[in-house]
Amino acid sequence: MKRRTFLTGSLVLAGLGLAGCPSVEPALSLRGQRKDPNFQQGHRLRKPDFPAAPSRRERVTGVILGGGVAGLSAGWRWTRAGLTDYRLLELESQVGGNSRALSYPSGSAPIGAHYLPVPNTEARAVRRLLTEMGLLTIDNGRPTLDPRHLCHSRQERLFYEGQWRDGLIPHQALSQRSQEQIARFQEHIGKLSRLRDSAGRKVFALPLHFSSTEEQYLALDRMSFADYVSRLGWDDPFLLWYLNYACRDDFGGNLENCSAWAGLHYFASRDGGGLGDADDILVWPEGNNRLAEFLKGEQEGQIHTGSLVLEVAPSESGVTVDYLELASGERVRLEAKACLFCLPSFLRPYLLKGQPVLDRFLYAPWLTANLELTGPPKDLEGPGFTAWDNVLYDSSSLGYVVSTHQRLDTAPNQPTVWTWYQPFPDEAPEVARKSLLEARWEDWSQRVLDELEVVHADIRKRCQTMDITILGHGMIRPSVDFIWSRQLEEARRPQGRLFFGHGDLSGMSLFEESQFRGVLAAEQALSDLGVDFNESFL
Amino acid sequence: MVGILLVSVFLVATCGLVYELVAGALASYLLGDSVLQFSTIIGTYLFAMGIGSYVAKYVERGLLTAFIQVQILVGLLGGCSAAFLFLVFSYGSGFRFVLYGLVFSIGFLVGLEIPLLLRILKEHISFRDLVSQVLALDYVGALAASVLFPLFLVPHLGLIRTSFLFGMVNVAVAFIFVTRFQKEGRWGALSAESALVFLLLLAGFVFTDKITRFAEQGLYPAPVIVSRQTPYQKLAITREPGETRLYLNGNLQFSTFDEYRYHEALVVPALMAQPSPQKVLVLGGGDGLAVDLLLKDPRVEEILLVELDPVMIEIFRDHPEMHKLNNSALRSPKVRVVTADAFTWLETSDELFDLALVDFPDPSNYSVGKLYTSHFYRRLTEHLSPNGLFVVQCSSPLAARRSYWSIISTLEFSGLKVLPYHVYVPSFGEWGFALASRNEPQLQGEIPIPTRFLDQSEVERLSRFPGDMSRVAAEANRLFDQILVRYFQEDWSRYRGRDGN
Repeated sequence: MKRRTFLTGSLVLAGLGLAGCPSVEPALSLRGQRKDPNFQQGHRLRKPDFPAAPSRRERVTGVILGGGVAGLSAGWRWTRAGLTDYRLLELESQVGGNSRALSYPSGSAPIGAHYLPVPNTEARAVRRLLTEMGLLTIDNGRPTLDPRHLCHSRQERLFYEGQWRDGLIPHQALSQRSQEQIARFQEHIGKLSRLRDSAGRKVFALPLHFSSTEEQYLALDRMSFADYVSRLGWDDPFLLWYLNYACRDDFGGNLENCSAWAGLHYFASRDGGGLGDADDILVWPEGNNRLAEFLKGEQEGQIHTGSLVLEVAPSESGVTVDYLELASGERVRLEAKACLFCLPSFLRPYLLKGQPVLDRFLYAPWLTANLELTGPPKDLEGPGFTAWDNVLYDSSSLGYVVSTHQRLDTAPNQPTVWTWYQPFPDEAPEVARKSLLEARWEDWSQRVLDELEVVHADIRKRCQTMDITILGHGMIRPSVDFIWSRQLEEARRPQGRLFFGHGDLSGMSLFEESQFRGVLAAEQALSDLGVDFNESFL
Repeated sequence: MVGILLVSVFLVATCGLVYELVAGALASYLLGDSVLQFSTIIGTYLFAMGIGSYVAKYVERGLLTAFIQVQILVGLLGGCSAAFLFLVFSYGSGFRFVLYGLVFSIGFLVGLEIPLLLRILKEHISFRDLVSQVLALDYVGALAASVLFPLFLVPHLGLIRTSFLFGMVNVAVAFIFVTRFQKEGRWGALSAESALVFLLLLAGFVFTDKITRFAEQGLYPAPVIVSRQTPYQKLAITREPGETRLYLNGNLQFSTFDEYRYHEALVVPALMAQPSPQKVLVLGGGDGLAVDLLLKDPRVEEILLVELDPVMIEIFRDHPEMHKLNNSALRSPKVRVVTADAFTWLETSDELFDLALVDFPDPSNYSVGKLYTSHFYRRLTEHLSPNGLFVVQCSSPLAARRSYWSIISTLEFSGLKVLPYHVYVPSFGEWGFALASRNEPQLQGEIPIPTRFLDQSEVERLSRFPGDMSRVAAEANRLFDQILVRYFQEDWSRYRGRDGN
């Protein structure tokens, strides 16, 4: 149906002489690679076949496991406190985790995390980081973000009923009733975002650690977002699409399998922190890799990539960590005074003995595709008229973001890289993961192009290279009764001098949360080690 | 046989005059001054015909073959003439040379035709009848052409298709001669030749159909004399007697009818507000019209023009006709031209200027809208000398009132003192500008250059805004929230909706 609408549109344009004559272009041969994390090595943990005895033993003050945003933030915190005798172990050849990027001749593009909302006042570590990066400055006595990196207009557009429309809500195309419900929803969110509990805490804070813990609000975590929405009588199909989109976008889930607390948090937690509007975001061509690279900063000497952690054991004097150096095949044993476990929690059973059950930790798988384009493809609004985020209403994907969006110059026909996001919100994560493990590049690249062809007729001609990344455990999902559950609370508890600091301990995969958990673990260790560190970053 | 021959006299005569009219009309469109163009074209053409007639006597044998060859050649040259001349004008050089060379060649060949026909026919008709009939048909053919041309051919087919069509008529005559009369010898070669040329002209006819409809009748009210698709925009220049216009993406940029009002308003107040405008930056404005006015001020020593589209420079500096519109301003030794994106240029240069003219297209989309943001104006201010100032064209304060005042708000938000003003430009309507500077801009002193429109009393009126254009609340335009683009689209759609367009 949509394809037909689109074709009619393009015929009308052709009739006006604005589009070229219809022609059949031969599909150029598409190249591309899989950029998945190192499954093969990671999966070896299931059936260990490693050397039993370490061939080398070393002593360090600290060890950080995992080089995603959490691990890098932990190292950043240690470095700022003057603790530099530590090692950061990362399986991949590059640190960054979900915030990695791929390089192309026309620039870099993210494989995953691609934006940072303007930080709230309570996101002190984020604000400190942005200040260090020179992006948050004091201008005439007012904190100001560098406008070059605030996402330029248009931030978003939605392909809805055969046309691109500004923003995610196509007000003009919606019925009176839809608009009324959307207005009521926004009013509701407005109230929630200003709401404070009896102790004056925000009900929905970001990092969520600072949220109210009053029972009446935590109860929202024990119902699904779908239930909440239907109790308020909201049934408009567009509004439901919009709310479901939010769950897919931020959680890789849907209205039914995400909690109401999480869904409301998505909309009500961000307040612009006096730096901008609640929906202002910071973006870079390479996405959050900009942040990861800065965090990596002075840690070059500490980071050991290609290191597969095998065993972690708290001991009398600290923590013993065994890891496999992929390059040499050697098993190395580190005797550390403190260890920060910044790996996702699902790895705990493989690495640690006697762990609590973690059956509530569900990880949403993702597939992303980086499309290298020789120039802007045809577009109903005119070539190059993309927004930063381009969403298709009738798609299981989330659409794509444009890496060159922040260019200030008028640069038509310039090559660009798009990142396409495909969540799997409706299947059980382990089922989706299994089928993704067998997915072929050939099939997925064609599927992505098929979807894009509906809105960009000559995408196959423009797309030279498509790299596909499968993130099997891409995101922790804030399922019903997870974020504020006893299980999650217990999982955060340090075990001796082993401190846990991955973003999944917040129950949401957000930069703010990963950084918070990493810094928190680092500071807990610093206290324990007796290192003096003036004040908390948190 | 005689009947066919006489009909061909009529057709050939019609074709001959059509080519002459096409050349004359085309030269008037492209070069202006239609009396001069038509006179010289007709003179050249008739003179060439005379030479052709004279040379005809040297053709001794094979009259029929010679006539057929001439027909095919006339069809080819005459048929392609309009398309070829347009192309030469837009892309090539030496337009006049090519024009008169082509007119001469066609005239020469047409001149050959009648003497050859007369000699072919004299075998069949008495001399007395022959001369009367041939000359009579020749003049009737001329009448047919001169009536058809303005009433039917130009309005319905346009110049390019008209010439292709009559080229095909010429070649069709040749083909009939080949099949009817040429029984022996080079029959095969001649019929193949005429068929080939016919197909070529037919292809041209079909192909230009699209182009002419697209470029001329469809979008523009007057004939297009230059049409270029650049990487950045669709550029078209139209000309009719007394008026040349530049369109970018279908939007009028200037009309020679009243551009002086616009450009005087852009340049003169800025020159009055800046006591020492030695070094001037012009952003946009590759048409050179503003630069032309700046050069009239002896205080201006150096001008840097930063234009995005190299084709604009190619046309307004290098084109043998178009550079006259700006009095060759872009060729002045005081003028440096850089083809670059204004934003990128500001980010990479560290030059300082006493005055900057900001003359960008209206903020109709987010790409152009970036050039109207507070970030842009802050960057630009960094390139001003301590007493420097700049002027911005700001769209219409009447038709796009919120847009206009949003630009003013943006300038103020950027920490600048602003003097808003407006003028009336018939082609555009009420048009708004703003002077901006670190210190309050003030219009002082005499009008520094000779003007056609602005005088002292007019200058005093500039900054008075009547009720329907007075200030309205409008937010500043910022990179991450280009509210101006939304204002602009809403304002103009409302304005156009007003009279049902």
